[in-house]
Amino acid sequence: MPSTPTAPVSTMHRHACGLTLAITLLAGLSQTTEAQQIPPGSTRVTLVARALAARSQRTEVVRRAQQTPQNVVFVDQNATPEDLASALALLQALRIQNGDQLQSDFRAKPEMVRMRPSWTQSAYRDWIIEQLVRLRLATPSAHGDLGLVSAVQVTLPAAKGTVTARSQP
Amino acid sequence: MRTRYLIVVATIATSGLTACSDAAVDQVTAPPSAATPVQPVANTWPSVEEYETNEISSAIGIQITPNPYFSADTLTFVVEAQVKFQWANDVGATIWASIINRNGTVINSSEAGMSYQRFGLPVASGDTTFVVRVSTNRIKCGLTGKAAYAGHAYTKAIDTKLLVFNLWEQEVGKTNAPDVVLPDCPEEPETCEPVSRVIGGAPAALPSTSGCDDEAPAPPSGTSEPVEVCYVIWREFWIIDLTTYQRTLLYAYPVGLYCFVPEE
Repeated sequence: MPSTPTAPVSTMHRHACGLTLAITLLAGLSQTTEAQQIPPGSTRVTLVARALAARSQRTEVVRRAQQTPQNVVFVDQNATPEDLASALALLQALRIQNGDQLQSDFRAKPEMVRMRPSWTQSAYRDWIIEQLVRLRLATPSAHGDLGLVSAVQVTLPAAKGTVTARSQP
Repeated sequence: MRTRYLIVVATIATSGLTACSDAAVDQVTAPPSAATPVQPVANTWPSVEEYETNEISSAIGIQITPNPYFSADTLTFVVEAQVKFQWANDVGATIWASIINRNGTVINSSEAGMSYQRFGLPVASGDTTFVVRVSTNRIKCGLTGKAAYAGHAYTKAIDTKLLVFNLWEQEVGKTNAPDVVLPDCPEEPETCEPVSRVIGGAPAALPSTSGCDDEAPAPPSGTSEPVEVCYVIWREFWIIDLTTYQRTLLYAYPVGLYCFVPEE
């Protein structure tokens, strides 16, 4: 579902939060660039507090095909609202690309992030901060194979937007 | 002298007769009759002789008809009991109500009773209705209401020795009423995440085993994510040891750079 980008890549780069390794696919991934046939609706996402190994990495998105919870965002204790917002945006992008019926596991983290000018005053940012607070106040509990972790769930609305391939190797 | 003596005697006798006659009494108004104290009704049972005199039937009987149901708002379990009795002057009944959940645990319970005593000859028949209500503790589904009832009817009399005894009696032992079942609770959402997923080409949806967070807030409605993000997708090749499930990354290469622009 490639479409005309609304922001030039150079702009994206100027506002990049950091360059790090990006997406990891745990299994074969042949349909990553294919458009999603059925627009994904709202979904629940589990935010899990976990210290991430890389210093520059404060969030990590994991989508799992055969395990629940399916959509997991690991959040480092140093994560900022921008970090969590970009992780959720990335998750929405992956949903648009691959839908909610996965045949492979995904692990991803944002490469470049640009916050729109309305970000600092947006209700969305306030909501993101509330979720970070919830996560930090959450009591550790057993969450399946994730073990005893502090986790909360959020509901993401239907993914709407465009995913554009900027470069192909 | 003798004559004189007779005259004196006659005079005395005449005076005596006159004094004792009605003519000697003035007309007087009789004092108002004092109010006769009402004999208090004796709090006692009729005597055996009264039964014999009045030919009271010995066809004593008692019937208890329970009507258990959940209230329309399913916040209360109600048991109504109608008690009918015949030729009894001492009637008592009790109903018990309880609510259990799927595990058989009693959520709440209560009981109610009625008593009827008549210090007189029993009437041919009578009936009364009483109710017990039990709160469901705001649980509105998946409950079972249980009820039981018991009662007795006596025809009591007192004999000449002032000993009360049951002339006739009938008992209804504790009896369970039919259970009343609330509809099952709506099934828990199969998953807190996408409803169905297909793996490995299998058409069946995967049931979820994840716990659901009741509080999973969504972003404020009408707001879009003011975040644009770019990411690189890498393809990785792993070797997986099926005996130990140990994974070893062989190599990875980038598939491409993608950018996501949310809808305004």
